[in-house]
Amino acid sequence: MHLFQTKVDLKKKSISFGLFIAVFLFWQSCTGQAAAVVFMNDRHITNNTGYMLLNWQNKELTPVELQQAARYSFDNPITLYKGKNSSFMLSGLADGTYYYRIRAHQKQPGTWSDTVRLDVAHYSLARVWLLFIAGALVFLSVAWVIFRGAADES
Amino acid sequence: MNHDAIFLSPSLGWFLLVIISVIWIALGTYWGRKNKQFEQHALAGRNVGLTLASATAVATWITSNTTMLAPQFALQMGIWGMLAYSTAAFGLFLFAPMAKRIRALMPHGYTSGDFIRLRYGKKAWGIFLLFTLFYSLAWLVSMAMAGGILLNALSGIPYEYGMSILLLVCVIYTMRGGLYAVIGTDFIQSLIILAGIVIVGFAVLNHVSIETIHTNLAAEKPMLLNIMFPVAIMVVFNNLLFGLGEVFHNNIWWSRAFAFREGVGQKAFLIAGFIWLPIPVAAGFIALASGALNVAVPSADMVGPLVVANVLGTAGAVAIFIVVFCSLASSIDSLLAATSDLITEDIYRKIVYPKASSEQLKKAAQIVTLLLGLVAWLVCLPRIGTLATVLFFAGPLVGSMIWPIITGLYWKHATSSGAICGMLLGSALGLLAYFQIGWYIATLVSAVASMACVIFFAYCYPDSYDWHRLKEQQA
Repeated sequence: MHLFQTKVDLKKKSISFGLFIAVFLFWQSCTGQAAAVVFMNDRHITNNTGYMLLNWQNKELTPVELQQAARYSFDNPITLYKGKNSSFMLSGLADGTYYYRIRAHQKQPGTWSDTVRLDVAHYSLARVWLLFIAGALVFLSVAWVIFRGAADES
Repeated sequence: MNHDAIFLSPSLGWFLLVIISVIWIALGTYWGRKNKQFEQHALAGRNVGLTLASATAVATWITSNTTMLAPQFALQMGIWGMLAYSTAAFGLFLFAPMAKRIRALMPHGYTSGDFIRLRYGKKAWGIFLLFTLFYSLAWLVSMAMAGGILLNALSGIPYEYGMSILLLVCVIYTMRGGLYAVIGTDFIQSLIILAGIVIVGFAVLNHVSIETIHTNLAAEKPMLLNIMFPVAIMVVFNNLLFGLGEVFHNNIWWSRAFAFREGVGQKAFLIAGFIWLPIPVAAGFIALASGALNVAVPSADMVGPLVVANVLGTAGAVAIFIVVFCSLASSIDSLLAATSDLITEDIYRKIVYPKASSEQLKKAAQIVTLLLGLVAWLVCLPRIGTLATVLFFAGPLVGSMIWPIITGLYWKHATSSGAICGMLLGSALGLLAYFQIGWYIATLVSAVASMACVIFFAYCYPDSYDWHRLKEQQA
């Protein structure tokens, strides 16, 4: 009798567990809860050009939402992109720190990814203008050699 | 591949690809029918008139880089980036007087390698061949690879098929028609490219005003409007010098200087420079409008096609497909022809088989064209996406050749030691800068070092070169 009762309990538990799994899967498919999207970039990036490519894994072409913010807490975030791509080109960024996060964006939004921090610090202008002047001198010298030579030739 | 990048159905893409391929092969074969001797094959009989000469110079210089990389420069570096890219026109402007000089000094010359060998001797010639072949192959491979990737992104045609067909078409008509075919197809291709860019520019302006673009950029990408954008300022002269190095040393341009009718070269390169100058600005402007048009850019080199497709829909996508194919084909065919002539003349005739007849040389040039196509195809097949970097990697090499070439043409006292030292030290320091700082400074460093070497040897150990040696040995 006791053994029989135990078997019945086990059977009931199995059915309950199976039902739970089925309901969970059904709920998942109804809500469209998606797997987390993961950035492929480093979590902390330093940059001196003001442009870079953000990448994330998205072979299944899942719709995603990409946000940018000036603070880690993502107060007043800006949505940069909503769509099925797996990368986004950032450019024209001024000196400063920027934070990025991404999530799947189906019927039910997924959880936010880890945050990527981007520190932009452009080259110093003194160094840049020095190179600019060096370039200008080389170019003017090349032009001088050619035009002087052409004048002598004629 | 990014979802937003496909604009045309694969069936429409295949239809366009087949139609364009058949047209180019037919035209190339037709134009190349009078091509019997090596001189006709390699230099179109040295009798190309002003219109075709200007068109081929423009078309060759409008590569996929111009239609794709100019918008990328604008997207990454703003107004300065657009201007920096357009400075490549100075390569054509400054080559104009050089073309006249080349034609006068070497009326029977074939290649830029001929000049280096006769002017500086065999050591300098060896280094030059190594550098120029590396650069030419890197450019050829990056172009074919870009073709496969772009056709795939535009229409979903598998990369392997798009890249193979593009290469095959160019190899067939270049083999059959030589420079006649290249120049003829270049003429049509340049008209298509110019019309495409003008139409797209006006279409973008009809969709969004300059004020809206400016407001959007000021809010979202402020550095693109900033006159003090550091990396963009650095790029200006680096890009200009890269362009000078490419044009001054490469046989694509020298073969044209030899092929254009006497008195045509200088005018043709000047006209080509003026036609080419505004193209990167127009192409770059398209990229600056991307934010105002709400076009998300998944990778910098796709900004041009994305904006065009957004503005013009399917018609725009068809137009960009044709323009991309034309800009790729016009450069691949020129590279195939010029590089095969360089190998045939400088290696086959000068080293392997000096007694080769004109017919044998033509045959050899055709076989080399086929082999070049095959090598490029094999390298492209695995789709290593980093070969655009290899092209930038060639920047120090081409930058180091500017001074040996110009002083070799105009200074009697320029020396072989200066040229060799300039090429080796310039490229070594340029490559060091490439790895230590970045691509945007490598060519400048290389050109500065090369200039210092060439000037040092020319003034401390001057030569006294007899210009007639160039003519006598060629005659």
